[in-house]
Amino acid sequence: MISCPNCGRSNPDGNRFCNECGARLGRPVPCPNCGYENLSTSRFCGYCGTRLSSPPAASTETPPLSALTPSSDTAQPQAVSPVEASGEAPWQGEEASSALVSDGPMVSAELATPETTEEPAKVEPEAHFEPAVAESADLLFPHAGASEPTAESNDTAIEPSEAEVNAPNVETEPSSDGVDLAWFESGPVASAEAPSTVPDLGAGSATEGEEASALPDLDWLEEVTSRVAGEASEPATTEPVAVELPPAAMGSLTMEIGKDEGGDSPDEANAAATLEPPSIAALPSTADLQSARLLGSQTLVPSVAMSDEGWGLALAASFRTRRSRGRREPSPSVPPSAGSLFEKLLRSPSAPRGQSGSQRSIWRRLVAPFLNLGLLAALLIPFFIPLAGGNEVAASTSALSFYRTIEALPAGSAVVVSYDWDAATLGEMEPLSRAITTHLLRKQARLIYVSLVPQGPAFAQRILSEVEGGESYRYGENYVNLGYLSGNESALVSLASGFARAFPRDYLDRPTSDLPLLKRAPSLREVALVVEISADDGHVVQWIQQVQSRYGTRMLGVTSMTAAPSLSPYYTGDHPQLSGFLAGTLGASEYASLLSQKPRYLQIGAQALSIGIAFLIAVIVLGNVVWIVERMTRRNRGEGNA
Amino acid sequence: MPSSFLSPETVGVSLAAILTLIVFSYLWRDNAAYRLAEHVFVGTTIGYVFVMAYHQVLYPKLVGPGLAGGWSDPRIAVPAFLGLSLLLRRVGPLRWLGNWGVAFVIGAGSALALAGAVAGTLLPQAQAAAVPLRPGVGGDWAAVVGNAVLVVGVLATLSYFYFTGSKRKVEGKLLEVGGSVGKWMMMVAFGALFASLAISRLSLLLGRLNFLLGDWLGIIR
Repeated sequence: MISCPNCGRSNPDGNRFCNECGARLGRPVPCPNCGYENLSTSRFCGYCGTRLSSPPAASTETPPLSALTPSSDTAQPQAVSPVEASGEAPWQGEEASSALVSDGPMVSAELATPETTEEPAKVEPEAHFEPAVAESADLLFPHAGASEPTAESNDTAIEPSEAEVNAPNVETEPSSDGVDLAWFESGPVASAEAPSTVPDLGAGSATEGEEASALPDLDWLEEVTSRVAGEASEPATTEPVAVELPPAAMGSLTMEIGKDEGGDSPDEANAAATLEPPSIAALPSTADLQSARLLGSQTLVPSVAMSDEGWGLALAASFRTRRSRGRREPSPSVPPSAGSLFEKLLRSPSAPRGQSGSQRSIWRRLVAPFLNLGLLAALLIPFFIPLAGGNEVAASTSALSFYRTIEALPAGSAVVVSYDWDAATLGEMEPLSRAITTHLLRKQARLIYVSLVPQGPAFAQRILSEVEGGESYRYGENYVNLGYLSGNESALVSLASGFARAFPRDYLDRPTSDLPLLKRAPSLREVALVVEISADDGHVVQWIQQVQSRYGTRMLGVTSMTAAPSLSPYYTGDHPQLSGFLAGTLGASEYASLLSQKPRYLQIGAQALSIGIAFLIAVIVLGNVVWIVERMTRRNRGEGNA
Repeated sequence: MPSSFLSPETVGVSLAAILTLIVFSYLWRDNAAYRLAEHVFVGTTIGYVFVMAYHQVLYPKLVGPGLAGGWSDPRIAVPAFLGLSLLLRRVGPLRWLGNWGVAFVIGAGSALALAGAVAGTLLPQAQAAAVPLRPGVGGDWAAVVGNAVLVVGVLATLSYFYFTGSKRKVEGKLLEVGGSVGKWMMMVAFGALFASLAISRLSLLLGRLNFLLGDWLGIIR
């Protein structure tokens, strides 16, 4: 799955656009070390930790950059290069190449002539990244005696410095990145060209008299490489020198920024981009680079509207990536805010086709309020508009069984009623509790109220006082409210030992041993029926497991609609553990119909519930239809663009 | 109708209605008033629970008998120690004492739950799943089909949770097929659970609307 960089939704492999927001998705980037396919926005491999770089494989024709290493004697930067003094382009002729010493870290190499070199650096270029670096380096550091870079001249023209060879972390043997960036430590390359012009590669493109322009100030990169090399280095203090690249002499240099397959917006960058933006007084302008191409496996996307800062960051990113490629740990000294502009630019997704991002977000913001208000309006209809139906609700089998169980009770039977619900479920449990209490009072049952939740006793007391016939019930003889019992299963087991032992004092703080009703029914064994009223299935199951299964007591269950599916197995079968079962507002309506009661709130409740459910069904169906249509539309668009 | 505008009943109903509307404001967005109502709800609940627990459980069963001279009674002293040990879990050096209380609670609760689950759920439900599949014995054809669906559903759902079957063997393949069927059965069950949950929440909303329009505004009776 590919994660969309815009909305984060997971998309199937192979998607080029996000199914949710239409943003362009990047292709998976294979790790150069293990081949694991990572997200296009990844900077490190998720399997082996290798830093990811630009993907395309490069040819081995161009020489490695490690050949362009400075000598140890040129650690100090020079303000003005001999090239500038001579008025020639730095990459023209041996003198120019040897004198190409810069003050900045990036172009600080002193290109030694073949006679002065000690030992050539034979670094085999990496498969897909080497040529770009090498060619980019040719931009800035032309080889001795060559106007166009060749493999032989590149091998012999630039030699590694002693410092570079002796550096502990610098790999002179074939390295994974093939790039030796110790020459960054020297100053920038002096240039006779203006700061904002493209570095000049070819002959005749140098312009005399132009002000010396400065290369980007890459002191930060010098710091990076010095730390990697294990030695501290002083930051460059000289001003950067610009290098100009004439468009005509760029040859086959190409630089690919991301993978844009003909789209109109840049894709996510594959190169590491957490870099500190350098001072870019002399970066090539975007206009110049539009017609130019840099060597190597990287291809310039003409439609990329890159600022000067962005180009500098891209170049610096490519160099730094090569330096650290092959290492499994990230560069420790790169500031986290570096390259934020570059990242932000390349991560900005393209707008979804056919609909702007702002329109889509407004629409999505309106969906939730629309649904809420629509549902509210649907539920309020029966409150203000009399509707037919709802007066008589056909009783279900479970409700009938419930009714018949209570109806079969002898008058004066002791019934335990457990109020195990709280105020949060008042709307659903109160109608049920009223209906059941009304029926029990009609049968003149003696009620023993218990509760496994703290709020239960108060509701029991209130409902008994409000139902018809409740005012005639005398406390202690017709009913008792034992109150709250903590402990769930252990509390239920203790009821078997006697109510007075489990409840030394009742809800009204009276001693339970003095209550006449408890003398007639001292424990669960003398009780004819247990009615468990609970909003969740947990308490009902506890009563079943600890009381009904142990003592065989007849039991009725009352719950909310949430718990109804979970408790139905206890009601069904040849030997059900629940003799009857009621659930939710519909159960209350059914029972009220059986009691020949027509409370208005139950009638309205049943009608409103039906309308609300119909509204939800319509919304769900409509939502699925819209989703399917959108998905088909996106697929057709994707196929049309293929 | 309340006789006085400032009667406790009127104030209580009005306060409850205002808090209800404040909680509904969350549908617009999270706001300070909603946070206030939420804190009031939580605080009130906790306060009420604490008072009930003390007056209904702690005082009549522990504090009262202890103060009456029963601290030496093991039936008072041991529960008191175990209860206090739970509080000591917040005290660094004495935290180990809390392990006794926790062990007792978990041990006793687990034993009761396990025994009850086996005797109250596992065995009865297994017995209930053994239904006849022969017409006539199991009832009419509709009942037989229902029984068959029940048996297939139970077996398929159980096979979904059997993870150690080798797929190369016949029994492993059968388990895989049964597991696929069981997965669909469970999806149907979860769909029913979700639908019941939605109905339950609608009922709660209707209860609040009935309160606002009836008890508070008096629009409906």
